[in-house]
Amino acid sequence: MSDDVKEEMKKLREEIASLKEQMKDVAKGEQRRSRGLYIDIGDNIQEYVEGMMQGVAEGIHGELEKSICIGPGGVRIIRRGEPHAENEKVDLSKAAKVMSALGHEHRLRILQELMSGGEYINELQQKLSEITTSTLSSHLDVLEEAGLVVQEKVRGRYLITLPGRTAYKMATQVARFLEKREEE
Amino acid sequence: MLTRLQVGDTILKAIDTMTLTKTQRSLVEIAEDSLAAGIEADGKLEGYVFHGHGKMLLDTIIETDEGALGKSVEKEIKDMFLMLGDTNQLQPHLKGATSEGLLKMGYRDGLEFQTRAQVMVNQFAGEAGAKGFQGFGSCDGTEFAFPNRSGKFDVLITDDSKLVYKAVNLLFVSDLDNIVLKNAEHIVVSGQGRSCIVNTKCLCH
Repeated sequence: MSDDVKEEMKKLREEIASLKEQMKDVAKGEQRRSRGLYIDIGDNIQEYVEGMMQGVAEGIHGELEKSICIGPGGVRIIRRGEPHAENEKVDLSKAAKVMSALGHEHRLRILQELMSGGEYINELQQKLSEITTSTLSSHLDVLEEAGLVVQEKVRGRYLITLPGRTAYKMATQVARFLEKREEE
Repeated sequence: MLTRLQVGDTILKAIDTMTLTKTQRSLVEIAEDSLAAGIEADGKLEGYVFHGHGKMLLDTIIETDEGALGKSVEKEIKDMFLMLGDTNQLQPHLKGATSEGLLKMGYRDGLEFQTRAQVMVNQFAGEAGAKGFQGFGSCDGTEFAFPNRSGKFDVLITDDSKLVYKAVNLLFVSDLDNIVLKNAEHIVVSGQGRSCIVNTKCLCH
């Protein structure tokens, strides 16, 4: 065997030894991965963490935009698959009727009284003494026509309906929202 | 034991406006000059068939923490209907009908009224799944059956504290503490200050 060949053989043995060492390192790495999360963060840990945090922040922001609607009524969570309220078809003439019914302070006062339970017209009259009987009666007709109030025909009591409660809460929350903005 | 309901051959008329039932949630009235015939079982008066103008008011409304659900039913009565149960208080308000009274309501004679009334009673008994009538026993309730557009009957059962109303797309059952309402939009069960509301329109999606 010539000296050149011997030298070549020695280099090969060294390379094989080096490869064996690298194989051992790789095997150790696999073991660590199998036990849990293994992330190769390289040399610059600060850069890696900053990049990762930015990615997480963008992901959360995107998800929030898709699933939470923040408005004057507070925060509303939109479930996956549920269409956005803005995209739902709404009978705007009905909405206008409801808004029109809400558009009087006396009618809002009537709804406020009914929030605590059904009332006969004379009970409402006593509590809302600044409104005359005939005006009170016509306000109740408007509220009933809009579906915000229902009257028991046998007993005569007036009750606030499920849409009536929702409409009253919406009106008061908008008022609160505006008050806060004015304060700011 | 089941017995056959038989319409009597004496045709009567109301001498004044009669309140057939009045409870916290229901009212049935029939006007003066309305015609009536007794319904008998084993010779015992069990009710009347009426034909005349009247009205029915019914509050099928449930108050919940979320707001009231349901509505008041207000119906004008024009067609023949039947009433079973305690009718003793009605007898002083009824007297024999004249031929003019019968003609006014569209009947040639008493037999025509009796025949039509018997057909209705038989239809009602058949719809109720009974071959005859078992009586109300010790119950004080009153039962009304109003023919509806679908060729069947809207049924109202009332007593002082309880009410059952079954009509097309509406079922309402209540006693002093509990109420169940099923209409085209909701199923509501309410009692002990708590309510469970199911929006049936949402269940379709």
